[in-house]
Amino acid sequence: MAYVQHTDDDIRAMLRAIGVDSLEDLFESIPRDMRLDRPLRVPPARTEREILSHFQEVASANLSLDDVPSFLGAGVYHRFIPAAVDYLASRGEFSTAYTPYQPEVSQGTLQAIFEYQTLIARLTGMEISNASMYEAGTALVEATLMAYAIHGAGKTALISEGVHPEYRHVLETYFRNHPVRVETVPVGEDGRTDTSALRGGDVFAFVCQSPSFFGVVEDGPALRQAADRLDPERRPHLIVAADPISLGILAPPGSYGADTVVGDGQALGNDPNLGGPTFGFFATRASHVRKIPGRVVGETRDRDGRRGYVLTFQTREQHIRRERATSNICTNQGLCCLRGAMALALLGESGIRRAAEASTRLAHFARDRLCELPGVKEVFAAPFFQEFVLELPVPARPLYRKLLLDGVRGGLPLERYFPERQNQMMFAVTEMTTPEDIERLRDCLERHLRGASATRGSKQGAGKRARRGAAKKLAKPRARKS
Amino acid sequence: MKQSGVAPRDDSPPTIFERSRPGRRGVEPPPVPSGLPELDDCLPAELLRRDPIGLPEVGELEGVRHYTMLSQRNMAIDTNFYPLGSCTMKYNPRVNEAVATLPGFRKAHPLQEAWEIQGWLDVFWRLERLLAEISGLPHVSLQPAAGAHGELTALMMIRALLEEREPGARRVVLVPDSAHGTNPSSCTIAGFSTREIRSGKDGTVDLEDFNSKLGDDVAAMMITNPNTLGLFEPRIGEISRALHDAGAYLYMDGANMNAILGVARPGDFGVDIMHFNLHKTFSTPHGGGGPGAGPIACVDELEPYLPVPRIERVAPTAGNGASTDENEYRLCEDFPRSIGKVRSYLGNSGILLRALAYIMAHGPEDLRRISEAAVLNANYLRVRLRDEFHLPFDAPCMHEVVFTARRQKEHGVRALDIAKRLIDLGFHPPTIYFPLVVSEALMIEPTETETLQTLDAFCEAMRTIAVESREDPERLREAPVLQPVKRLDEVAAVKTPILVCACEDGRS
Amino acid sequence: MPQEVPKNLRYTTTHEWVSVDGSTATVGITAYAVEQLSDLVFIELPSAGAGAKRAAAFGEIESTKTVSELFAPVSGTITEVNSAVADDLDLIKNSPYGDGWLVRIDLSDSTELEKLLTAEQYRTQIAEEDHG
Repeated sequence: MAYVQHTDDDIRAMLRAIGVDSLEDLFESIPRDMRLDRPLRVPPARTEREILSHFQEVASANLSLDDVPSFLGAGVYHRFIPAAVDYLASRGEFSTAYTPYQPEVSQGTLQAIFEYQTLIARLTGMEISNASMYEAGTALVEATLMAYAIHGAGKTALISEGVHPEYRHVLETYFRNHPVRVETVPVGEDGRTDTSALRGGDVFAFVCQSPSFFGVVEDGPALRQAADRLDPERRPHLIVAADPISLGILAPPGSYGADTVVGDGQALGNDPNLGGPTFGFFATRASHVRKIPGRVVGETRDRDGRRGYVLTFQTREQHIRRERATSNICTNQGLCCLRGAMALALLGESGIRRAAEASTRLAHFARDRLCELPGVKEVFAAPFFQEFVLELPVPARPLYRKLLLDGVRGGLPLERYFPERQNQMMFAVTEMTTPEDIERLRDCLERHLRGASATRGSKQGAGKRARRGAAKKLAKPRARKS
Repeated sequence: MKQSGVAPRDDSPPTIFERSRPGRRGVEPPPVPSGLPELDDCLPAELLRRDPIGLPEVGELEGVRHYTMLSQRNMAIDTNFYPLGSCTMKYNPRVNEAVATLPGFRKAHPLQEAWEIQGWLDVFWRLERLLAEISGLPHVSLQPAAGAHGELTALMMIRALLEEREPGARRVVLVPDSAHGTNPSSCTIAGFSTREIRSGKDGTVDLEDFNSKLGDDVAAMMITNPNTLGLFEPRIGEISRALHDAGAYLYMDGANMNAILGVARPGDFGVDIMHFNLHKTFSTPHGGGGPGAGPIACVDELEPYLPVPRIERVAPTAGNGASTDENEYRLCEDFPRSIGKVRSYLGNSGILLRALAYIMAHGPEDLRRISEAAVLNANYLRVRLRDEFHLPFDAPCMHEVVFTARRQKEHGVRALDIAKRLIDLGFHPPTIYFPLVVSEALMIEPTETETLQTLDAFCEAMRTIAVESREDPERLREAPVLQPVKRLDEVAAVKTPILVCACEDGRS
Repeated sequence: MPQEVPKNLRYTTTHEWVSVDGSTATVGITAYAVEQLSDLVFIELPSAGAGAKRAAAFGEIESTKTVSELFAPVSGTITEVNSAVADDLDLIKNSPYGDGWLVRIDLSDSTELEKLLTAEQYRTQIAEEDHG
């Protein structure tokens, strides 16, 4: 009986107290013809030991970011996480509590969220923050919905091509059945959003990302001015998706007039986890507090004047306002944002700045080294933070595979999202990358590019065979030092 | 208790900001190697932050003490009985945590090629198949991040189907008055309006009201079964047939699946599409409000509209399934009628993994025993407490039982007061004031993992409260008095909002 | 405790009261409604000049845990809004039938008044709600 603790005697005593003869009698209210008349077709129960060994084997069929140096980013990053974060966040008092609806027994969660809101507000340069969203894509949708509700006039949301394609896809899904029209603004040759291409008289929001999906740091004030030019009276909302670590050194969107700042919090104290769970952060102006989605914690006093924290402005939320709620979100990503707060607190002012500085300086070093290779060119000229796109003389996707078989995971083949960018690869560098990793990548790349020019157009079949055995054949090149 | 660090204005513990001192270092990230381009050469000055961020500066020990202190100011399943109705606060097995923290899982990147993450895809595929069998609905998407997100995804799918079949014709969703608030709010986000269906005298859907509101503008009905009163909807078959005859669909909010695992399957009683709350039914930790996961399952007709990408098993292996050939699974985007993506990447994978481990620990018999014990425990509380507390619907319940504070209210004691007094007696309160159709509701869900002794102790506490409500009601209105804080001023929290900490470096 | 239900006013089932002077209806919420809402924290009212439609929402009032729509008892044009209550919700609490009035409506159809509850009928309704 896996986790049920009753003994047979307990069950008999309880059935007697209830006044029924058998457990089956407890289900009398379910019409007989609706009951399942056979056992579920699921595998037999496994013991704890069997479960662990099963999943150890399954896990070994995954290559992880720990296996080889990796330059894959695009929204999810290999970052330094203080050991104390795992230790503290796994405390059952945090992980096995529910939403803090009863504040007297939830002061721990509530104060942690209050501090999280403060940390996010300071990082983004905004006045307030909510208690987290699912992830960046839905946070971006919610920011756009909020802008639509507040602006009250416009029907068009402009979204930069520099916003992560995954987030744009989510936005399109949500707005398919909505009066809102979503129009894409292209990026210019330098990689920044082409603000000269902004058009439209009924725009309520301009959605950007900085650093952009392509790694490029946008000219924030120019984004604000471009939005305002569209409608100086009823200024469209400027919504900026940002990487939280980048804000350790980059000017926060609040400083150039963003109305709402969102982003993915994975980089703060959360493992990549195949992209989830992470958390979405959401920070905005204090004047929008009645329209903000999700939970919000506020400071107050108890009957004796002692400081304490409560969920507040709850009338916005679905459990009270129902069909007129600002959002349908209920469960958010509590434990993930707690990890985020812990990481920010433990790394602190200097730690976050250092992680950001190391990332950008290592990334620039990598860009310089890789661009020395013949036929390799940087695609975008605008300043970048920790990711950059290179044009290669060969298609990027097969190259990614070859590099990995050589013991280094290259960057993202952009073909995945942009079929026309077949020869482009986007490299991510973080504080976890070492100069040796970069040299290794350079060496492997050089070898394959040289090989490619010699055997161009070689057999497809060999690649397929290589892929088949990859996970098993992949030699662990060396112990990762980190 | 006075804390180290700076003393705030009272005896409440300091914030992390009040613990901060300029120049103190916490955990150091890897150093910046030498020989790199200077920061000034990387980024122009106008793009850089000019002022300090205002993050705390605390040492590691101070940080560890801070969060340990905070954890001790929480009640949790690990510390106390937590009969919070509708939330299924059952034991969260630790082996699931051990599984989820295996590096092969947690250090995987969502944009790795499918052949690099075959283990993960095996987890997805197996969980999809198990949820299909448990629900009796053959097609599953694991993408939604939470229950409300699953609701929304399902409504988007229904809408996409209807827009193809009869554009613009069906824009109304029927929602019972006892539904979770997420149901009507998900309708709004999906572009539907809601029409409320009354609960009948027995607490289940009033069929007459339902029939009168079922028109040719109705796209779907959202029903929770068992419903939020802990009652199985006995006429769900008729409701389903009527909806289908009218060209509409039946959606089920699966928040209460814990009552019917292995006993009844939504697909068998006429449901077209539903969501699961893995953090409820399949015991992934609630985490103080998340993360959860809200997979959906549906019938063939709705399958083309499921979110992408979808997992395909291209080379099924015979036998024990332990083998994970690199090319066994692939991710497929090519579903032209799909609604698209409802979140980035694949889903709350770490939660999905825990739920799979949980289901595997059970097997067919034990899955059914979950429901049996959950229903047994709720009915036990029902009969043990009904002499002292008013039962608005005095009938055998499923996994949870709804009482009211009607008798206590005669002495000026409300559901809120009962909840607060329970805290001092060592129990987390039940859900109060929900469902909305019951005034002064106390919604108790004991779950299957509690012992008879715990249930008896809880009954004892509830009886104590019933006596106190007659003899010493003031005591209840004052409660709690043994917690870190007493009742908090929620009016002030709205009227003079403080949503971020104003202090810097320990100086308020 | 029975709440004050002035005899000279008419009522809605949704707890608004109306007092009529010529073609002008003054509208507020009843003492019973105020008690049920308990801790008022926010009110949203329309601007003067807006239209009002009988039984349609013209505003919202919130406590910390509830939000209630304010329904127009009669149709017409809103001619005046009591902006003082937005700054001081205690006006509604302390004087629901006096300084706590919410809007004035220029009636477009005086026959609608006949559909409203009398004080007696309203008293019966709230007695039932209390025991429901």
